[in-house]
Amino acid sequence: MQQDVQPLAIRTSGLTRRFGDLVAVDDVNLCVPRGSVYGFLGPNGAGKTTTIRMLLGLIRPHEGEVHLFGQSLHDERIGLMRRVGALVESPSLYPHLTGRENLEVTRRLLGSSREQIERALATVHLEESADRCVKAYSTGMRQRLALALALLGDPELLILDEPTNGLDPAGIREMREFLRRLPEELGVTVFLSSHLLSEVEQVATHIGIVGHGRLLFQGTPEELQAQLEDHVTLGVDRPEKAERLLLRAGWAVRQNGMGHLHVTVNGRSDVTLINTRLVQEGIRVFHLSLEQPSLEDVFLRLTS
Amino acid sequence: MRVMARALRAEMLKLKRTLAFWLALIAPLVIVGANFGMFLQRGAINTPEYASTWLWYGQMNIVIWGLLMIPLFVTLETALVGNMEHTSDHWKHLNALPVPRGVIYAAKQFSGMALIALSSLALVLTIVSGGVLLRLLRPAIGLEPSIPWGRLFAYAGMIFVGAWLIISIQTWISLRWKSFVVACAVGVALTMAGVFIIHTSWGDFWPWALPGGIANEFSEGVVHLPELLFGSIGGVVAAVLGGWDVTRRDVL
Repeated sequence: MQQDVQPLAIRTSGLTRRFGDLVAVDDVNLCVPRGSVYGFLGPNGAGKTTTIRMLLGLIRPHEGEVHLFGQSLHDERIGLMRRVGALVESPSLYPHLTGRENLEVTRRLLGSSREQIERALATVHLEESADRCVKAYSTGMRQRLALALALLGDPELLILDEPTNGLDPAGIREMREFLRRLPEELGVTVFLSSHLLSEVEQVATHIGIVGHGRLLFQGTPEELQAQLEDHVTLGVDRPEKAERLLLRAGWAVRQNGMGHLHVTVNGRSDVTLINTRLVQEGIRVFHLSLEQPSLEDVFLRLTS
Repeated sequence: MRVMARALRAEMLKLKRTLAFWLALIAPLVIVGANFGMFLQRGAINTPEYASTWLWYGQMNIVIWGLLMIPLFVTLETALVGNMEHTSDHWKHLNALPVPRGVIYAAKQFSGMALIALSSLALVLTIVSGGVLLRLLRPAIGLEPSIPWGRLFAYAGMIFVGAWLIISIQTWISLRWKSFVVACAVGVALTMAGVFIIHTSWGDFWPWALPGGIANEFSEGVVHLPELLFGSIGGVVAAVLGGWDVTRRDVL
């Protein structure tokens, strides 16, 4: 068996899956570095969950391949799944069993040690509620127990589909801190899917954006932000004259329909130049702001 | 084998505090309790000349158990075992674990069989308990001192083995389709059909009528070997085919 020496936790090539006429995942080539927190972003229905199900071997791709840790999922599923923990969509819990018993069911299937249950409970702060039936758990507690299930077996790769579903702000922050710590403290790679940019933005070291089944972007957050240029919004007393002036000078300008101008710039030095030029030509500037695109702006532009 | 053993232990834990587990113990009480009440009220059992009173009393319970209760009970138990995984969509968690899908299916199959086996054991114990109580309360019924343990266990065991085919078919249905109603409706409909089909020339081999056919002539000690073999071997074949079908499906 040949092993791929590239340091990738997940690599897919040409991953495609159809449901009838609908192409849910279309030629997706993921490259998830080991030790990263990879934010897999996309609007609802973009193909995130379908992709995740293919990564876990739950559904078969119609085309393409999945490699985890350099090995083919098709050929080595059992061995690879020993190194993976997953939380797909909603928590899969038995409500008539306690939290501890739910973990015990999976522990027996994995053949792990009993100590791992206590470690997992401690990691998600559920020790005190471990012996209550899950049907009495809040949504947040269920989500944390589902995370504990994913952590059982000490995985090297954690695949989480919308892990902050149902969590309150405190819970979301706690989850964020936890996800940040995983690669640093345990060397775990995290593949995290979400439709919430704010969630991903704060933890991800790498981002993949999917829309209509296609991978629209893959890279670091900085590379993503560079996709959109900065621009200056100007409020001037003579917008038409200002527009002509700036166009002659070589800047890209457009009016926003409300008397303001948008000028594409390349950093703060351009802002100073523009202001100076306008003032020199007798144009009064009553509003000037530099706007750098947020991740949300880029995301919306890419997925629209 | 170790993986299979671990999967079975996981299934046993899942049955804790479930209706499926308690029904296995309660179901025999329904049949035996009804017969007990009837004989207690009558004060007599109309035993034919060729049978002892114990054997005839046993037959009254065993035949209804085999003909009606076992097919309906298997339907309900397998539907409950399957439904446990369909709610909250446990399949995505189970099938993402490093456990072969065939092992997960087999564990489900054996879990259903274990419940029916437990119920069969409970049946014998409740029949004997009921008989002993009747002997004390209605000595005129004439239940003999000697209890036919061997015959009771043998027939409960044969009914269980003959039920393997419906256990396998109902397990497949309950795991293949998410709807609890579908699994129950199919089992109930085919059990009811068996009540009529059993009177046809081929009715003895209608899967849902097999346990009833095997239970028939309990008091005379007749062993229906063809039905027993059909139920047992058919059960194994159906389990393999059902497992093949379910394990190759995508987990959507």
